[in-house]
Amino acid sequence: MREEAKRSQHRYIIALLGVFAMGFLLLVLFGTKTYLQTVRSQNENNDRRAVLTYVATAVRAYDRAGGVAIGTGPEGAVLLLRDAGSDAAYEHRIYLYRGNLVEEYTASASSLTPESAQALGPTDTFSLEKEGKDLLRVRTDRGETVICLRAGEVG
Amino acid sequence: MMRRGHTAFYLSTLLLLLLFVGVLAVLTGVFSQAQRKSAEARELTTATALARNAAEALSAAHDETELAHILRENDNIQQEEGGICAFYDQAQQPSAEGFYRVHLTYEPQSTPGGTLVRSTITVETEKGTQPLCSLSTAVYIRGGQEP
Repeated sequence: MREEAKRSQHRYIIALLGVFAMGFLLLVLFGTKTYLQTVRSQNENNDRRAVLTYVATAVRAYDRAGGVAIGTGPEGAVLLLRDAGSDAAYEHRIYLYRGNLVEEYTASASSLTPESAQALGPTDTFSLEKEGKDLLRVRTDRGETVICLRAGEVG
Repeated sequence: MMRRGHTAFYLSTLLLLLLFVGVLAVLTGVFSQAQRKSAEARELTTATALARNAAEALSAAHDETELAHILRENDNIQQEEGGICAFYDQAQQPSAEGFYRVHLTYEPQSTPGGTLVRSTITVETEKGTQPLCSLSTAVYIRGGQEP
C-alpha cells in the first residue's frame, strides 16, 4: 500500500515536471518568434525610412533650376543632383548597384565608380519617373516616394 | 498523519502550478502586445509615407482633376464630394481594393492673385476605426498656375 502511494506520487511529480517543461518550451518558442518578427519589422521600417527619406532629402537639397536630372547607371536609372553654378563641376549620384542603393559625390565629367560608392540601404529595384515638369516619383522595393520640386525641374 | 502530509504536498504543487500558469499568461500577453505594437509601427510607417506622398502630389497639381490624375494607378481612385480617396495595399502599391485608404479634402479658396487650396490628408486602414495619421497642408496656385 505504501509502495503504491509512493509510485503514484512519483508519477504525479514526473507529470508536473512534464507540464513545466512543456510550458517553458512553448513560451521560449513563442518569445523567439515574436522577437524575430519584431526585429525584422523594425529593420524593414528603418531600411525604408533610410532609403526613401534620404533620397527625398537629397533631392530637396538640390532643388534648384537644373539641379535634378535622371541618367543611366549600371543597373538602371541614376539620380543626378548637380551643384549650383553654371559650370556644375561636381554632382551627387544615387543609383542601384548589387542589391544596394549607393551614392557617390564626384566630378560631373567622371564616370560612375560603383565599387567605391557608399551604400545607403538594401533594395532590389530603383526606378525614377518624371511626371510633368516638376514631379519625381522614386520607386524601390521598400516603397515609393513622390517629390514635388518647388524651384527646379527634373532634367 | 501520512495522509495529511500527502494533501499538503498536493496542495502546494497545485498552487505552484497555478503560479506557473499565471506567469505563462502574463508573458504570453507581453509577447502578444509586442507583436501588435510591431504591426502598428509598420502600419504607421507606411501611413506616414502615403500621407507625405499625397501632400507632394497636392503640391504638384494645379487642380483637383490633375491631383486625381497624379494619384491614379491601377484604378485606385474614388472621387468624392469635396475630396479624393486613394487606395493602397499593404506593400504600399496602388490597388482598387487596398488595405490603406488615403483621403484628401480639396478646399480651394479664390484670392485676388490666385487660389489657395487647403487640404487635410487622412490615412486609415480597412480594419481601423481611427485614422493612423492625419496632416493639414495648403498650396497656393497663382493665377491658375503654381508659382
